[in-house]
Amino acid sequence: MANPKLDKERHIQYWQRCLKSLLPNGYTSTDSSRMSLGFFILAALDLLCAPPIPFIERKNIRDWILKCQHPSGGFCGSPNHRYPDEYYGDESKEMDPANLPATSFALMTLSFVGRLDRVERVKCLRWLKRLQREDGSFGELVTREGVILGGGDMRYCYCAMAVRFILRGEGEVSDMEDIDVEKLVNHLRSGQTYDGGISESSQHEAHAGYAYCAIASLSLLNRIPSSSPTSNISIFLPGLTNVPATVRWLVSRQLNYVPKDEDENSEDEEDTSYDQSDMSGSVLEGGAFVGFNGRCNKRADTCYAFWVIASLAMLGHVDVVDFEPSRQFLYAQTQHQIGGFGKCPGDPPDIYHSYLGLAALAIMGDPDLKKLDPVLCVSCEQRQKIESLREEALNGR
Amino acid sequence: MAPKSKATKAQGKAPEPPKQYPTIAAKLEAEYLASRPYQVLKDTKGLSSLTPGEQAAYANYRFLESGVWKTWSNAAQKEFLRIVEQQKIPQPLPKPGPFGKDWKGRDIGTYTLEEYSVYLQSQKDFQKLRRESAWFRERWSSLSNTEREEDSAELENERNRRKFLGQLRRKKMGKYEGDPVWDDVVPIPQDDGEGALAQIAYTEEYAEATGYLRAIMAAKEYSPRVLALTEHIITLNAAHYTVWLYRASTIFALKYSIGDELDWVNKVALRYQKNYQIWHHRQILVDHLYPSIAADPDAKQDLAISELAFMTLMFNADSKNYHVWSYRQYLVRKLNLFNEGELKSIEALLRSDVRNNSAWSHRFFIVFSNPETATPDSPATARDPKVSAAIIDRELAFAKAATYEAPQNPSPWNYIRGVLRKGGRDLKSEESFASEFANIEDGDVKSSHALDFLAEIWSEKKDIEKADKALRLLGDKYDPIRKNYWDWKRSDLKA
Repeated sequence: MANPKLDKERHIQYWQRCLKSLLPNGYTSTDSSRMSLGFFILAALDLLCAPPIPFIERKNIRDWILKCQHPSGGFCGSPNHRYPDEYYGDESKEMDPANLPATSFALMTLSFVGRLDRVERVKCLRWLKRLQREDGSFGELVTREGVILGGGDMRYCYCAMAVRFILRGEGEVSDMEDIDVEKLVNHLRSGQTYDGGISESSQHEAHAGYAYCAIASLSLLNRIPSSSPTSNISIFLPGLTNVPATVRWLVSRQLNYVPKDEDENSEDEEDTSYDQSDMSGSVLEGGAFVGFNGRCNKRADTCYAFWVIASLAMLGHVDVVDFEPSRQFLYAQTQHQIGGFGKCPGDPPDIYHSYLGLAALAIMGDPDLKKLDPVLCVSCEQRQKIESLREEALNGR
Repeated sequence: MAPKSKATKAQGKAPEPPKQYPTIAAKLEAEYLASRPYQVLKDTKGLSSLTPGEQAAYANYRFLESGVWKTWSNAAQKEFLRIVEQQKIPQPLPKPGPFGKDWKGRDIGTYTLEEYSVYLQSQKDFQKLRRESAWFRERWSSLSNTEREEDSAELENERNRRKFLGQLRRKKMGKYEGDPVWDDVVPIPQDDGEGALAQIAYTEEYAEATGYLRAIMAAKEYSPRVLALTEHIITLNAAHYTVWLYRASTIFALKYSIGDELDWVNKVALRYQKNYQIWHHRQILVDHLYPSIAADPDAKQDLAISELAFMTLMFNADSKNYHVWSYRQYLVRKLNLFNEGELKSIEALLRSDVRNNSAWSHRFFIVFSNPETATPDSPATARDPKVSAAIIDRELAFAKAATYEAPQNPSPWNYIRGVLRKGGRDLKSEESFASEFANIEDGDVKSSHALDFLAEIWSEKKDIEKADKALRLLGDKYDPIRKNYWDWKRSDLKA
């Protein structure tokens, strides 16, 4: 394939199919997180500068998102978790509670098709506060009795910060008590592992996805020096424990990808073309294709290109990565001929990897895509729109 | 022309047409026309070309058809009927109506006579089954639970009856719709609305089951049938976040055996390895179980053994499954398994794959989070004076042995750095070790990680020239993928 690049039209077609037709039955296992799928679809169409969605469809989408709003604050992952309103009236009924990732995706998705005026801001922020544990971490949902459930990992911290950013912003909003910022920061800091990466929580194995979430959370709390040059950097307050170690760990996620020969019938999981455990010839040359893995000695996967490069971008060190071979890995190896990106070379496309592939290329400055904000993982244009929607909602109260 | 039948009664039956018709529509149409000969005559010849006798007969046919003759006096009616018989005017049949379409969209009028007779029979069967089912429901709703248990044969009959009904109506009877045990529950359907985002082509099965789940959750029912329902939904969508929570609540409310539930989770986990909810569920179960065994060392040991055995099975399938390692850490803390057994287990895993970074990470946790030999909650990147020099030396030796095995494996090199930091030792304390893998003078480099290690040592020692050389070698030759990074480190050196 001579000079592979982004096949923009194909991608737009892929995303429009995702928008307009039913997703195949295999997506049933993502039924509870339809809100995230919806986000990826709209965000992708935005990044690709696709033709705008017609008014009626935008309105329908807006109504669908708002339909998922939980009467006690926050949003559900899909209408499958939402009951007819009359069921919520009786406080003794323990209904399907609102879900944190769903809420952050709902607010982000709403910003593409409407305003924030019908979001129950105060209820939502109050609910958010109830999701924070003593150790500063956030859970996925909270029962009526106040029991916080779900893991305590960095993803929820990130979702919580996104919700806070969209509904509360950075200013001093006095009508709502804030979450405990210092405890959260301590929790994020405690996630740094012995090899410089960041893990799910405390002593677990470092993972690029969680590294991104922790760094993005700190960025939204203004604890990362290179975040938003215009905002007030709290340089005297604690942020990431050891930035150089984290950069080193992130940079180590790159690996040389050597495409298999067609003749080779290799079903070897521990295929050495994925890791660098020997110093033989092919590794010594600068690779034509550089993939990213999420953990040491694991395979390259499209989404980690985004998690790693975005993390470096937020830390102000995106230049330590050589863009060209990273792009080529995405263009030539995981970009699919029907549009979208697969997880690994040769895989069929799925919504999650397809969006993150685009996002990674956008950070690397692909000319066919809008410029991307690494913190919210949407176009910079969209981030500004979110900020103005937020201001509008805050001023209107 | 249809042969006339023998003399008929006053109202007259239509003369019987021959029986070979291709379709039911054709037969009924023929019969219809045969019952209105004078209409046919008028339509083909025109009223003015008919003989007076024919015209009169036509008029009488019209009177007969419209029923207006019934409004005349008795005498007039009697006279009319006599003339009708005399003129052999048949009782007009109504126009055969539209037949409708069958489930395949085929016009039923196109059925052959045999097909039509089968169709009529199936309609009859359907109605009969519906009546029987309605009778069953009425009877069943008035029975007590014990009476119902005794009537299990009739229950099975009804299940089968409903299955047939599903077949006859050409819409498969749902699992719950077809089971009388669920008759008291009204499912709550999903309200997706027009133009929803990310619509999924659910199976009917999933749509039905989730409708029943919502109804059960709204009613806060915790019963054995709920276990069956939640299990069913889990097999269709193991990532449904509330079905697991509700199942756990049900298990606890019913005081169901936690051991049995763990066995069940074992089966499911092997099918859905990447699923996070399964492990969280397991954790909830163990948390719930723990208070009852906290004082019983044997019970705790049993649990540890069975849990570790299961985790080993999972690791055999995928030795780096992040959720399983997460759970393992949880278990170690909960049951205080910071012991030789855990260390040996990790060693075994690393013997079979020295590159398993998850195992390295777990070892670090076992050693440096052990409340007996380390400071509780000491961050992974901080020095811990409580840890003895002997332990630091032991861990260094362990990691070094692994570097000899695969010098380019990053895991033990990272491990060494972590251990040194814990022990408060400088990197340079291992300078000679690292030098075994990299000699920048004669260019014999067995490990780029050693070079990186040495570059950092020399930088700390302020030996800028050597450090720069090492970094240049890395960027140009031994780790060119990261050239930009090595160049940045070089510029950092000079700053």
